[in-house]
Amino acid sequence: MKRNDSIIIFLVAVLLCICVACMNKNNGVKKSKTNEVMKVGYELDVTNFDPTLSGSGGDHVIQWPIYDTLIRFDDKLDPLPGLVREWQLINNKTIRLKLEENVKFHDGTSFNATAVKINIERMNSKESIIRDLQNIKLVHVMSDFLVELQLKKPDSSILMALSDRGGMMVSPKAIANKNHNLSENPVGTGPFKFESREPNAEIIYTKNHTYWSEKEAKVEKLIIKVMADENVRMNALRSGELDFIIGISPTNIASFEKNNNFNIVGDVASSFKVLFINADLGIMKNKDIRLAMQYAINRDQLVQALNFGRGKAGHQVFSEKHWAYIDDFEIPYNPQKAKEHIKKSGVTDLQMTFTYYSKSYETRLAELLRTQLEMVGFKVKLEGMETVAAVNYFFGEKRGEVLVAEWTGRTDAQMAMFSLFSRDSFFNTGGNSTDEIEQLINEGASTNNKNKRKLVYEKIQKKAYFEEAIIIPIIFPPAMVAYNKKVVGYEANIYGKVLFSQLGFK
Amino acid sequence: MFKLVVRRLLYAIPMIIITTFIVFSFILLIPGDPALTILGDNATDETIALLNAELGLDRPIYIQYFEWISNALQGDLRKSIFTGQEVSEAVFGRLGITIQLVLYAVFIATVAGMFLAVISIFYHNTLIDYIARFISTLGTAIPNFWLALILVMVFTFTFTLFPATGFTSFFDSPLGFLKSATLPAVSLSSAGVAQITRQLRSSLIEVMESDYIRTAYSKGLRKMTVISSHAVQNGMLPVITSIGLLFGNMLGATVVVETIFAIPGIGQLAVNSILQRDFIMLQGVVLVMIFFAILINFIIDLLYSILDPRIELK
Repeated sequence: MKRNDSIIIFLVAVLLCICVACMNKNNGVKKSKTNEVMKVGYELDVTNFDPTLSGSGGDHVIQWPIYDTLIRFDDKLDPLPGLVREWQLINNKTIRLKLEENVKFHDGTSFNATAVKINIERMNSKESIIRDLQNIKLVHVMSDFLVELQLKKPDSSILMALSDRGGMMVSPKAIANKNHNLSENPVGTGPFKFESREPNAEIIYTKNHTYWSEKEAKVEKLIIKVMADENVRMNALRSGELDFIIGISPTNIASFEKNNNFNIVGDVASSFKVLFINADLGIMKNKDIRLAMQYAINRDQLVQALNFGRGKAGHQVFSEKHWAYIDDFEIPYNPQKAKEHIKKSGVTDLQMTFTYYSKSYETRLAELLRTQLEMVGFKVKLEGMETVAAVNYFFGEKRGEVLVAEWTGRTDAQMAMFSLFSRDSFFNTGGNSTDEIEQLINEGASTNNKNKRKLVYEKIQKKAYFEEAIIIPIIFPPAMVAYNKKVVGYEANIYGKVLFSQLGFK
Repeated sequence: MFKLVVRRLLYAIPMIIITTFIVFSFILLIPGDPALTILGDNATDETIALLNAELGLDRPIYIQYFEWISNALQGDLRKSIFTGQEVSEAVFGRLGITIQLVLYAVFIATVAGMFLAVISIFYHNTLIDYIARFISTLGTAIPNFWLALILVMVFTFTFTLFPATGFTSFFDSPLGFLKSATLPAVSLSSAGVAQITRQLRSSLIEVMESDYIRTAYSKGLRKMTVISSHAVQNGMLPVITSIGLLFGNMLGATVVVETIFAIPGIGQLAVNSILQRDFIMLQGVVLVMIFFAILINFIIDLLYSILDPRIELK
C-alpha cells in the first residue's frame, strides 16, 4: 500500500476515535448555586425503581425521595401517618385507612382510594416479587379517601409493611400506560421528582414544588452518586465533591472525627452481624454443636477488637431503642458450657467451614470468630467469596454450613421473626425450626397488642437461641454517616436508612 | 487500500469470535445466579427457575452464545438483565470517557517515557541515567491503584489541586478535563512510562552506534540535537508498536482506576456488571473493548508505515 493511502486511512481511523471519544452522556454536574444541589454518596445503585420488582434492601433510600409510603415510621419504628392520615384496626383481620386529600402524583394524577387499591393489587400480582402484603385478601374502596383492607388471616406486620415497598404509591396513570417503563421512570407523590439516571453512576432528582406536605424538599436538586468503595466516598466528601455519605466502617471513623469540617454521627440501627446456619448440613445438624458455637463467641471482645468499642454486642434481633427489645436478655459467653455441649454432641471431627463476604470488615470478623471457636476445640476453615457468589452458594444452592453475614432489619418485628426463624423462610436455609416456634410466630401475627407481641417474640428468641441455635446474632455495628457541616436535616432512625429528602443546607 | 482494510476486518472477525466465546464461557462460570440477585430474599426455587427461563439463562452455553453473537452482528447487544438499559446505549455512552482517559494516559506515558529515555541517553552511564531508569522501573513496580491513592492524598487533600472523583469531558471543558483526568491518567500511565523508557532507551543505544549518527556528530551538531532530531525518529519505531499494546493494557486497567476515581467509563461498567452478574452487559463491554484494541493496533500499523516509508503494508 502506498504511503499516501496509509496516511488517509490513518487520519480516518483517528477521526473515528475522536468521534467515539466525543460520545459520552455524562456531562458532569452543571454549576449551580451552592445551596441548590445536595450531592450524596451511596454504595449501591437501585435494582429497580418499580417497587413491585425491587429486590434489594438498598433500594429504599433511592426510592423514598420519589415515593411516599402509606405509613411512615418514627425513630423507634413505630408507625406514623404518611399518605394515610389515620388508621383504625376494626378487628384483627380488617384495617381501615383514611387517606390524605389534595395529594397529586408527579404526573398530575390525583391520589385517592382507587390509587391505593390499584397499587396494592399490583403489589400482590404474580408479576410482583414483593410478598409483604400477601395476606391482604381484598382492598375495598369505601369512598374517595377511605380504604378498607381485609386480610386472609391476622397479620400484625401489615401496617408496617405499608411503610416499606408495599406501601409505595405509584401513579395509576403511569401503571396503566403500557409504554411507560416504571422500572426506569418512576412516578410517585414524593418530595422529589425523578429527573434522570445513569446506571451505576448517578441518579438525579428535582424538587417537587407542589408537594402536599410541609416536609417538602429543602434543595432544588438531589444527586445520589453511586460509589461502591468506601474510600472513594470518603475522598469525594473530603474534597468537596459530595456533601453527605453513608456507610463508614469503624476503622475510618477516627480520621473523620479529627476533621473539623465534617460531622460524623451514628449509632446502632436494626442491622446486625449474624451467623446463618444450614442445619441440614454436616455437623450443623447436631443441635449441641450449634449451641456450643453460640456460647463460644465473646461478643464484647468483638465489639472492642473490630469496632474499637463502638456498636453493641448482639444478643437478640432487636436493638435497644426498638419497642420489641427485651431487657436483660443475653447469650452469655461461656466457653466451659461450649465445651460441655461439644462433649454432649458426641461429634469427634469438629471441622466446619465458614463462608463470608471477602470484604475487609467481614474478613476480620470471620478471622476473629475462627479464633474464638478454635479456643473451644472447633476447627474452622474460612472460605471468602464475593457477596453475590456467597449469597447464591449459601441461600440458593444451600451448600454452605455457616454464612457470616448481616441481617439488615425489617420495618416490622413480625417480619423479622418470620424471616429468621420460620422453617419456610428464605433465610432459614436448613429449614430448622420447631412446631412450637412456628406456633409462636403465628401467635405474634395474630395480635396487634405490642406488649403481647413483645412477650411472644421473647419466647421465640429464647427457643430459637437457647434450644435450637437457629441463627447466632453477633454484634450490632454502628451505622455511621458523615457530612459537611453546612448540611442540616439529618435524623437518625433505627432502621438505619437515611431520608435524603430531608437534607438541606444551613 | 480497500482490500487491505477488508483483509484486516476479516482477520479480526475470527479473533473476535474466539475471544468473545472464551470470555462468554468464563462469565457464565462465575458463581452466582443473577436471578437470585434480582429476586432477593423473595426468591423461591420456582421464581428463580421462571426468571432464568425468561432471561434465557437455562439454556446450554453454546446456544446462549450463538444467539448473542447473532444479535451482536446485527448491532443488537440486547438489554441489561439488571437495569433493562440497552447495552449499546450503556456502553457507547461511557466509551467516550474511557477513550479520552486512556488516550490522555498514553500521551503522558509517551511524553514522560521519551523524556526519561532521552535524558538517560544524554547522560548515559551517569547518576542521572540511573535515576531516570529507577524512576521508570518504579512505574512497573508500583501498582496503579496504590499510586492512585497516593496521588489523591498528595494532590487532592494536601495541595487541593485536583479532585478525587468525577470526570469532565474534554469536549465540555478542556480545563475541566485536565483537572479531573490528570490523576487517573497518571495512575494509568505509570507502567507505560516504564515500558516506553526502557524500550526507547535500548533502541536509542543501538541507533547511537549507527554511521549516520557519527556523521551527524562529525558535522558539528550538538549531542541533544543529534539525539532529538536524528536518533529518536529511528529509535521510536519499535516503541510505536508498544504503544498499541499499551493502549490495550490500559483499557483493561481502567477497571481499577475508574473505580477508585468514580469515573463512569466502561471499566467501571465492567466491574459493576461482574458484581451484579449482568452477563449481557459484560459481554457488550468486552466486545467493544476487543474491537477498540484491534482498531488501535491497526492504526499503529498504519502509523508505522507512515513514519518509515520503507515499510509497505500488504
